[in-house]
Amino acid sequence: MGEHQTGWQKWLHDKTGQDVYFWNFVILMIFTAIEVGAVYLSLTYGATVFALVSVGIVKFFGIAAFFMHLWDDERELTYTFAFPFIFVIILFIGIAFTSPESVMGLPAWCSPEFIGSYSSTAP
Amino acid sequence: MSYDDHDDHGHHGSWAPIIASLGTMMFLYGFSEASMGITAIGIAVLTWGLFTWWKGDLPFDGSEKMGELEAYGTPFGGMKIRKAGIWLFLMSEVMIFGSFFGAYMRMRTNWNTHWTLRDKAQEAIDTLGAEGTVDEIVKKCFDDHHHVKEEACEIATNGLVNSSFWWSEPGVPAYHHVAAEYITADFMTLLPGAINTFALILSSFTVVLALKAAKNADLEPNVRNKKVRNYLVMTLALGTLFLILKLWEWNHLIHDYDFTISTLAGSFFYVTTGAHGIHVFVGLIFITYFIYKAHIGGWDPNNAQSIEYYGLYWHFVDLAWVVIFPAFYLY
Repeated sequence: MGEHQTGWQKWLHDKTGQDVYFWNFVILMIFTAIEVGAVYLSLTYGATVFALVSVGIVKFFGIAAFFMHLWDDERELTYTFAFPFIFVIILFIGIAFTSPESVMGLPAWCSPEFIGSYSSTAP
Repeated sequence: MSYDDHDDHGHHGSWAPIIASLGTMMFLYGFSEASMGITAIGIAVLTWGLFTWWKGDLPFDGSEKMGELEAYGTPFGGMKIRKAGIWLFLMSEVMIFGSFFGAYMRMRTNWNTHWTLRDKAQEAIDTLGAEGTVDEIVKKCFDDHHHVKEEACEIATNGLVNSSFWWSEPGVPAYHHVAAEYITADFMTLLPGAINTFALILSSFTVVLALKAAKNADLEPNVRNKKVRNYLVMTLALGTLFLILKLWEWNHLIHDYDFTISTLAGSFFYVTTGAHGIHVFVGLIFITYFIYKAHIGGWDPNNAQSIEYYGLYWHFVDLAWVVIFPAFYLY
């Protein structure tokens, strides 16, 4: 835990009397309220998705950087945490967001039918 | 002394990793073959391996025996080995939830449905004289939130895209109504999920406060442990609230909306939120022990890092919810 605050974190603590964890908590609560509110503002579909993704990114950053201490900890830990996202992105591009063939068009060895003991109910 | 003094003390041999690996293999094999016996034996062997490891290597107190072990070598050299370990564990957790989320997005983008619908719209224009362009017809099939308007779609395509397009057979939807359609139907339906989101964030903050209290060397031991206990009890209460509301919400979706695990969208929803719920439950088991340890005055600045490592897990559970909540509940 980055208990030895430096730079802007120290400045924040001196100015407000509260540390970065408190303010991170406040910001997360505010953005969660915005997130829930966005669904009820009758925004367009695109605007709703944009709001949800934007808020999600801010909240994700707030939790990972400050509550999980990645902001202050060794860079290797950030790389460790980030590494599997490479595969998640490949997963998204390769399966979730590409073509209608993205499931049925996979190589045979990716198919459940490749192993005889399993049956496939894929359409 | 620490375990990185390997020049002086060398490495001790341990069967624990092999035992734990064997247990994991048996557990997964039994699980995939639906054999309760092998699964149970696998869990028992895995527990034995972890217990052996714990007894042999991890005194956890930072002062006795070997102390807090440190890693050596690239890339974690010099770091506390449990800290590196928990991050590697979280790495695997990212893959688990990434898989769930990727599969869910595959269904939600629903591009098969849209492309097929466009083909049907073109067919309706060419053969049935449907009015408008393909885009205009497709637009009539969904409302502003991309929910299906079956009747409007049937009219727009002169009957070509009727209920059989959306329902492969009675009770079995071809197009899957997702949980968000029911959850966002009114504020009271959304309320449990919204409360849970605030509860998890608040619980993350109380874990941070517990860690700060445990690390505070200026406090008297009894005051320190009382503070730690109180913050952890708050975390336990919030986590329990989360699970209660989760079960209430599932019950509501199943009985009031007939949204069950038998549909594709239902299985994505219940498996993902269920897996997340299990993570919360496991976290509560650990925190119950931590509370007991605080109750008997066991926390001090030298062993507070255990709360930090637990906190990493708990924050990750919060982090997963940050993605699950908008994706499954709001969108």
